[in-house]
This record gives sequence, structure tokens and C-alpha cells, in this order.
Amino acid sequence: MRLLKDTRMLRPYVIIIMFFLLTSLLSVQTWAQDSKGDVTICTEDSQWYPYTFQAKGKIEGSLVELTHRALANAGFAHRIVMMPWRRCLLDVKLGNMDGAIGASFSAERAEYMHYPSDAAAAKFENRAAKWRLEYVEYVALSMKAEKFDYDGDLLALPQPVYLPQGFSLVEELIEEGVVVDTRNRRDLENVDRLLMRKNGSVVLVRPLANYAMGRETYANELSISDHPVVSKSVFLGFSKKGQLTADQRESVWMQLELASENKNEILTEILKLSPDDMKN
Amino acid sequence: MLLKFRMSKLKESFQLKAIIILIAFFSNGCFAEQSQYTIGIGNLDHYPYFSANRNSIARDVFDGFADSKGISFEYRPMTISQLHRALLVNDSVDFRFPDHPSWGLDYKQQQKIHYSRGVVEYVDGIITKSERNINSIGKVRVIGAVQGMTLVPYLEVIEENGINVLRTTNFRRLITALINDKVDGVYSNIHVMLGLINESNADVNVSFNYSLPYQRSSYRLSSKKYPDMLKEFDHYLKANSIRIEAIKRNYGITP
Repeated sequence: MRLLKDTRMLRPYVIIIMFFLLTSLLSVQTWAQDSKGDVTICTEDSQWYPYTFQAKGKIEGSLVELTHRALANAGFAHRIVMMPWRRCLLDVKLGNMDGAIGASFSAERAEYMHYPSDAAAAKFENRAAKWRLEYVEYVALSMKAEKFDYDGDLLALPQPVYLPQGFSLVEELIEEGVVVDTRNRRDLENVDRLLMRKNGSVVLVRPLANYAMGRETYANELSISDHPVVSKSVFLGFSKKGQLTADQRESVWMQLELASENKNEILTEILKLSPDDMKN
Repeated sequence: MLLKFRMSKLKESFQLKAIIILIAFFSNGCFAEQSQYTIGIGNLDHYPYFSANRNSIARDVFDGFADSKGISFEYRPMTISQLHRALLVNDSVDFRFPDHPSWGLDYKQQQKIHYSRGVVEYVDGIITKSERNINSIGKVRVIGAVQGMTLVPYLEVIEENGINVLRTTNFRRLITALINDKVDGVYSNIHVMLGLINESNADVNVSFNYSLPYQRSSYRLSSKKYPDMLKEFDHYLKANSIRIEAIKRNYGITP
């Protein structure tokens, strides 16, 4: 009976101690935000050469390098992790990742991701956005025997069009009535699939298409379209559930613009990496 | 003797007539190429893109092609659902315009439809009242659209977000619904809709909302029966691209 009474007496103290503990924990979290805690950014693992890819066990690529520089110059400790593109987008949506490298604008993604303010307008006006990571050009690879040259009509692309899953281009082509095959996760696997099946086409970024054509076996059998199938700005997008404030996001994008002044040098360095270093 | 002579004359005359009738039949029916074709055309005025009762970009292009081929087109205005039936069920038109591989998939199903290259480019998207400040799909509850129109970029979103679609039989009712806030936005060819709202002198500020999904594509000519004619039409479009761009500019549409 006495013990019970003592326990009851203790309760107010326990509550006060818990209150102080919680308050101190919350203040630590606030401090962490103020001092710009580690920012985690994801990038896709489909070997999107030369923009983001893995070589000799390291995450490389011009977009990765630009992101490193922009975040560091804006004062953020950060880490970049590689994962399948769809999972990367899902983690950004859930707030497990603070941002994603190389996301083009789409209304659906804008529901959970912050883009620079002119991203939607630039897409509509078919121009490069101001605070982009890169303005990417996609071209078509097809069998030489097909004698295909893209002239602006998406339906005329040799079908199926092989593309990695999760790319916004997949939805855009399907909306145009184009038959798309997304069985493979990587562009170069798609090139092999095209060579094996000898029908259809692969739509991929121009530098990677040029790299593929640098391989003798590919060059003998494939042709590359001169006219781009589509061009689009890609961004460093930030999660709406992430830790960066509007001012912080803007400061990173401004640093990105500054870092982009050296884009050609960065790209030259990246292109020195032997394509054979890429882990397919 | 006289009877025999008359009988043989009658026989000759009959054979001659039969030959003439046969020649006439084959020359008009079987052996001659068809010279007139029908195009089922959307009856909702999408001037300057296409129109059932006045000149338009599409009509100028089709008539130019017809002249070059020595054929003629008869235009039959129809609602969107009539167009589906006319092309796919009744075979009562030879071609349909406008059409697109993503439209009316429920009707088309397994049927093999052939499409031309794009005749004229368009953007279908959502027009909203500026004061509503709708900048994400999450804020859209009701979309207005005319009967039969396929909201291609919204097909999945409508289901996922529980968005309602209010259908009207004409553009005038759609504009009224927008003005009276019965819908959050109207889905249409943005150039056509903005032009109609402007012509209506309605006291309302509207704009195309490019933060929301939209479709940038081309209106195509389609056919079930004449794929070869469509190939010839494609060839005509390519060979006459400068002339066709001039037609578009003439109607105020620039690339």
C-alpha cells in the first residue's frame, strides 16, 4: 500500500523528466536542420553514360559531379546513392531521399518533388530550363537494314521501342500509341536485345548511342538517327518531404548554375573514363 | 426467209447492246479507280485546325492532296461517337479526321486501324481560371470535357485521385461550367478553347495550365480500308512540307 503511494508520488517527476528529455531531443533535431545535416540524393543505376554511371565501383558521371559541387558549395554535407530509378523516385516521394539526380519535369512527379520554378514552362516551350542539370537529347538506334531516319513522326519509329522502365519517355511514347518494351533495365541491354531480335529501335541519350556505335559489332549493324527524338531538361529535384527549405533549395540550384560553367571540362574528364570501365 | 433475217438482226442488236452494257459496267464499276472518298470529320468546330462548315488547315491540306491525285473528298460532319461507329462498325466512311492511336481505345480494341503522319500539331490540356491558383493535380476535383473526348494524360490520374469528369455536348456549355466553377478546369485543344472564351467576351481570366498534365501531339487521318492511300498521303505531306507550313501560318498556327 505504501509502495503504491510512492509510485503515485513519482509519477509527476517521471512526466517532468520525460518532458525535458523530449524537449532536448527536439532541440537536437532543430539544431541538425540549422547546421545543414547530411543530404541524401539518389541517382539511377541503369548506367546512363556519361551522366550517371558506376565505374570501378565508384558512382561517376557529369550530373553526379555537378551535384557534388553544387551541394558542397552550398554548404551541405551529402551522400549520393545509386538505386533503380523507380525506387529512387519512390524514396523521394516518401521522403526517404532528399532528392533525385536527373529527373525531367512531369506534372505527376511535381506532386512530390520540387523543381526549379521555370521547369514546367521550359518543357512546354521546348527549351532548356535555367537551373537544369543538363539538356538531354534522345536519339533512335535501329537496324541498318531498316534504313530508318527519324523525321519527327513518333509513330514511324521502328517498334517496339526498347526503353528502361520508369523513364518519363515511356509514358510519352505510349500516349502517342507507340509500342514500348521495358523488359530491360539498362540501355545497353536494350541495344543487345535489338541486335538479337533485329526489329524495333532503342531510344537513348546521344552520348550513349555514340558510345554504342563505337563498338565495331554495333557499328556494323546499327544506324543512329540524326534528328533527336526528344530533348528535355533534367534536374536535381528535391523531395517535398525532405529537409531542405525553399531558400536552401534555391541556393543549391544557384550553385549548380555556377558549377555548370565548367560543364565541358567536367564532361571531358568523365569521357576519359574508358567505356570498358562501365559495369554493364 | 424474212423472219430468219429479222431474227439474226435482232440477235446482232442484242449482242451489241450486251457488249455496250458490259463495257459501261466494267468501266464505271470494276476497272476504274474510285475517284470519290468520304472523310468523317468531327462536328465540333476546332477552327482553325478542322471544321465541318468552313475552311480550315485540315481541309486545305486534304483538298490539295485530292487535287494532286485527281480525286475528291466528301466531308461528313459527325459526333465523336458517330465517328467511331462510322469507321469501325458501319464502314460508312473511308477515312476519319481527326484521329489518334490513343483515342477511343475501348471502341478500337482489336481492329486494325491505319494512321497517316501528323497533319497538324496540337496541345490538349487544362484551362483554368487564373484566380483559382490550381497548380497541381491534387487540387483538381472535377474536369470538364466534351462528350467522347479521350483525356489521354489523365486516364490513370482520374482513377487514382478520384477525379470526376463533367461531360458536355458542346464547347459553349463547357465554358459556362468553367465560368460558374462547376469544374476546376476544362480539357480541350488549348488554342481552340482560349479562342472561343475570348470570342465569348466572358468576364473571366483564364489560362492554359502547363503545371498540369497535357498532351502535345498531331491530328492524324485514319482509315481501316485504305492503308495505301494513307501512304500516298504521307508522301504528299513530306513532299509538300513547305506548302503545308504556309497553310498553317496562313491560319495563324506557327510551329
